[in-house]
Amino acid sequence: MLDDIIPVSKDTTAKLKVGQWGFKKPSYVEKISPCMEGCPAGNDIPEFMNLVAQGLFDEALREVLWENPLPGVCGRVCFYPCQSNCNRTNLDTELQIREVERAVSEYGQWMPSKEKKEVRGKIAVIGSGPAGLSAAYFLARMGYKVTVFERYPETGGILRYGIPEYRLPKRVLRKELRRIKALGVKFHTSFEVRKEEIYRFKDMFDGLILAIGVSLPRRLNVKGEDLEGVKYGLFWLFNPFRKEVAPERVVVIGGGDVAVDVARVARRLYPEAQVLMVAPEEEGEFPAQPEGLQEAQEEGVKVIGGFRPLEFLGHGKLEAIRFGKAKVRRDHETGAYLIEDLKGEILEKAQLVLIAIGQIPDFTLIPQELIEDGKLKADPWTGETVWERCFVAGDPINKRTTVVDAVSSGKRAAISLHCSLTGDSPKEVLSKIRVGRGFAVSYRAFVTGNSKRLDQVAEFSEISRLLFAEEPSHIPKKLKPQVRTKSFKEVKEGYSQKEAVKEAERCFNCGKCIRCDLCFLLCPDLAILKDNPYRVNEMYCKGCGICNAICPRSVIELR
Amino acid sequence: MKELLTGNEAIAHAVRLSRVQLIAAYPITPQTPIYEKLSQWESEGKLGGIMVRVESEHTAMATCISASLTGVRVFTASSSQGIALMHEMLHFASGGRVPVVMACVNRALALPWAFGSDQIDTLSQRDTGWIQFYCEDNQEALDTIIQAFKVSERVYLPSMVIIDGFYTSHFMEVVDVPDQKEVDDFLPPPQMPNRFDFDDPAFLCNVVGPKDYFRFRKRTHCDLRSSLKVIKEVDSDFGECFGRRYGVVEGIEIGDAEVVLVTSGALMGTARVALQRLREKGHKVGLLKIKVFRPFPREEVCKLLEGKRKIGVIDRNVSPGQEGVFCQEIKAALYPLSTRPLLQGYIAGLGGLEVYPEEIEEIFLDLLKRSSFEEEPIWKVNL
Amino acid sequence: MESEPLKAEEHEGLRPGHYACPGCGMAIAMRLVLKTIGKAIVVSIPGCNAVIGSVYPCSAFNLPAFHSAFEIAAPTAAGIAWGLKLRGIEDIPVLAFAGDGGTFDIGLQSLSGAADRNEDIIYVCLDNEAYMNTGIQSSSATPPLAWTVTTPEGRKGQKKDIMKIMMGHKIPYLATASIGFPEDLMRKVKRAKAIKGTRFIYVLTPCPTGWRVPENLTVKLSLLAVHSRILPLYEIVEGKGFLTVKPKGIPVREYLTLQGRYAHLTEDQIQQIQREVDENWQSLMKIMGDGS
Repeated sequence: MLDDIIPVSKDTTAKLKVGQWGFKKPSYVEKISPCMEGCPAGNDIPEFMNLVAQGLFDEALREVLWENPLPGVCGRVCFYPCQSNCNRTNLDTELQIREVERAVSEYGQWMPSKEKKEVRGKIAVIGSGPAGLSAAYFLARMGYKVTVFERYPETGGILRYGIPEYRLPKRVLRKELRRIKALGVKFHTSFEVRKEEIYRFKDMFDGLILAIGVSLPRRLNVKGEDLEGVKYGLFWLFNPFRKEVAPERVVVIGGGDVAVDVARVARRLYPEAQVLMVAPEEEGEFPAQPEGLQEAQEEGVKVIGGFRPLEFLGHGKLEAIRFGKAKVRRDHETGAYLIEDLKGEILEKAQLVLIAIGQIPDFTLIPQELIEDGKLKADPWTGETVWERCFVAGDPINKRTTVVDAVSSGKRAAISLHCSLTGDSPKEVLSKIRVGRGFAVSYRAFVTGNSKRLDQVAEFSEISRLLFAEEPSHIPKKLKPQVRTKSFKEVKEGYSQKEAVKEAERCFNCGKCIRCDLCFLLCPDLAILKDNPYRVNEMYCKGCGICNAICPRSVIELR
Repeated sequence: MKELLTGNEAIAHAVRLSRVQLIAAYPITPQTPIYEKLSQWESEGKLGGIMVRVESEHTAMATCISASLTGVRVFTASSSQGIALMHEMLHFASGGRVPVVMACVNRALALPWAFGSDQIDTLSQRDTGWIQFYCEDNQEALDTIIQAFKVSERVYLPSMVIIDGFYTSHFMEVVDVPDQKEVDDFLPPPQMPNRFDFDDPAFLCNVVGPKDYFRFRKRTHCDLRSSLKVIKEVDSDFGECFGRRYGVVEGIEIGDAEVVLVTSGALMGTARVALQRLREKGHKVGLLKIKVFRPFPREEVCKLLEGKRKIGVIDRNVSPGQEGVFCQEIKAALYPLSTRPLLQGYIAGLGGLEVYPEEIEEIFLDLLKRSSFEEEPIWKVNL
Repeated sequence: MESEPLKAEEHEGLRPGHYACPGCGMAIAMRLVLKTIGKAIVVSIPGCNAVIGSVYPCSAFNLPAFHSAFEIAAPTAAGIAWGLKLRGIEDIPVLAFAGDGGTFDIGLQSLSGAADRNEDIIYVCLDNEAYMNTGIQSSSATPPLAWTVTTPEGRKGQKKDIMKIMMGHKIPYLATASIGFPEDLMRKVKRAKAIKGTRFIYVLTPCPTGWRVPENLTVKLSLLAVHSRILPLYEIVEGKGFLTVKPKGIPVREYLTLQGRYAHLTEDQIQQIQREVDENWQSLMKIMGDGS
């Protein structure tokens, strides 16, 4: 009765199609983040950051392992091209992505498993450096029976022999290797595969990956190199505990990362000696990572730029080095050094000189068919060679000779090899899983298909300036220089779990929907429904675009 | 139990006996003693309900309306400016179909400022859809309050129980105050639903289109008209329980009267004295009391006044530019008669001006000797 | 494309299909409040909030509601609260929605009376800074120099400080809230729900139509209002004040220059507004405590 005498409105407005008011409708388009675009390994950084922010280190490790089998290594030695792209710099400071990756590898427990349980074929990988390890890892995951042949007594290549303990503790490398071995990868160490044997391997195995690295130092070819006390830094690094009679002065020639490491190892081995690092580049332009160079200087290594060695002086034993002033330009395209000699000389006394001016591959290991113009001939992206089922990975074909580029190269070679065995075109397949516009590809996308647009990068969303409070990163502590030089103890402390979580919480997760619910809560028309992650009910969406304006991750697009 | 009470006190007793649950009120002369009495009882724990001491009459009515929607019995009281102030809310109450009962103590409306009895404050609200009872004396006021709750809660329309300011509100008379038990038997606790239902939630009284507005308005009108029947039933029941009944109109010696005077409220008391005197002198005069003004008892008035030659209406109010309101309404009620009596309007007692029995006698006599009737009312001022 | 019933755990007090303008800030505020309040009775009054509530025979409220008159949101809610109490119904809050007109102007008296009596209601003022429903006429909540249809040269006079007025009534809970900070708003509603007496929550609800901004800027403006200190976010519980969000201190210029209703401002006027905002902030800080 009461319903008749006063207006009693019980019908729901939900039957009214107010979505007809507007023609713009939002959609959820996940994209890659700028940091992802910068990562040669194609690491899904927003994804693993989100997991760390929730304290899920195991899941974060699993995520990282989709694209990079060496998170513990990269978390320490990578030159972090991801960080310079970080959108958060528009608000305060960049995410310490490398430090978080390190924390993930420290605190996460995860053993990767094969995607394909049945054995697809037998593959040989020559070389157990980062490129070889990467190729082996991905091939094993894809279901191949992989055997890695390593000429040195232990595995790891540059990771073990080239990067000292204070930057990359051996236990970290061991942990990475355990993971790879858990996939059934077999390692044969002290097994050099000479180029003649490669022909045999070509027939014995269904596929071949050449990951021989750049294991020989570039020769200086300067008068007096034959004096005692003149050594090449790379070889010296391989066995740094070979005790010499302690020199008074040690000079390292070169300005790259290897040179820096050589200098810092010398600093530790010879605490009384003066250690100098001399390179033709100007001091601010050494090719080494600035972080390492600074640490070296803190440890007492003196750095001199703008000089190149002209002659080694001494009678049987090295006594001094004559340096000439020089100007150097590095051709970014070819990597070649172009040195211009200037007027002026200095004389540096030294009993030990360690030359580290770059590395080249050991061509004695490579069959002639694969060499052209003095270089290993392979497609820099797919690693394809003139041999059908033989692919190259790592420094010999990479423009940038870094660990993460090697990992990326190994991954691509692995996938390309797989394509060649299944009759697919490596270039086509890689194109579909390319992350960003560089060389990086996503193994995960290869296996599960893409859910996000790998070719679209999420720009910085201005609204983030308003949504997030300023909170710069916490930078992990380093040991004091005087403490450092007394041992090979790891110089940088990593994040504690709590610190890693806190840092990961700073991540905007650009391009990835982390279900923050902002769009859901702030839709005036309740047109966004929780789904996977969300769905737009076009019956009610008036096209106001608030969701698109408020998403700090640029996930929502209006069409 | 018989007590010597003012009209305000009688009303207060009726409110207490009716077990009103919520009283929201604001003081205004001459209503204040109702408010004060109820407050006193509340502080003594003698009042079952709660008092909400609001900051304006508009708010008082607003509070009563929304509380009533939850199904509780509510009451308020006001006069003059206060009733005018709550005008918006009066429409709300009838349109919202809530059984609020309000005691109105007639007082002149400013400007100019005056405090004595004048019916214009309640009559200005005649279009608001409220049932209006005009009471003659303190006993009737008490009885009508109790009846009003019963009527309103049956028809879901609000009621005004109206008395004259000062003449009824402040004058003491002997009043028979019923027992609580008697009142409980007659007026049980409210059976109204809580209109806020969580199982089937509704938005009450939101905007309607013209067609629906038309429909609801017609419904309110029809229900207000048919409430007359309910009023009579309740009055009859009341008579059986308490021995007093009032009817919707009361005719006094109309049967052989040549002229009939129509009036309401406290003036009735004075008019009865005048009637008696004139009858003693042999004049054939009659009196008609209009108790229920809304819904206007057209049938009853026509029945009683049909065949009478001359009718006079004394209004203690004027609708400026027209005439007294009761006069207007009587004219409208009598319009359908095939033979209409001659009708003269009189305006008396505005602003509480004293009206003596002699003056009413004069009006009777004037009516008796009148042959022509003026359209304009005759303004009766105290000599 | 059919209408989807919402899952039980995603309780919503507001239904889709209502008639708010696209991008309406008030709709967001109402939705968030109703999402948090749970089982409650809603009082709606003339203004945008009733339009959102919708017309007969539809309702956009998933709760029992009543459409009262413009100036009486507070006592209407109070009457219902008393009625429920008299009927022995416990723990159902009564929520009154009112706009700036119904709070700062025509409704101020009845709100003051209700607060004085400490009526047991939750009063939510949804301020879009003018009489928007009737076509953008100025109210005492219209900020200085803002354009409205009735103040085309910019409003003269200051915005009434409703929070100070309500503080003067010494009610147990007051808070300011913003749709740019939905979690903060919802937390405040939840907190208010647990308190008895008159609770006053003020929400600034930007109106794209009346403020002359594109409809996607509603939430951004809310964020700017808070971070430029035009709308400090705080609570006052039993007389003690706490900031709930630390503003970044962005210049008000960033907020003003986005809005068409401020398009006519001169540089001097912008600086004048900045000074006034700074003064108001200083004055507020004197009564804020350190706790949270």
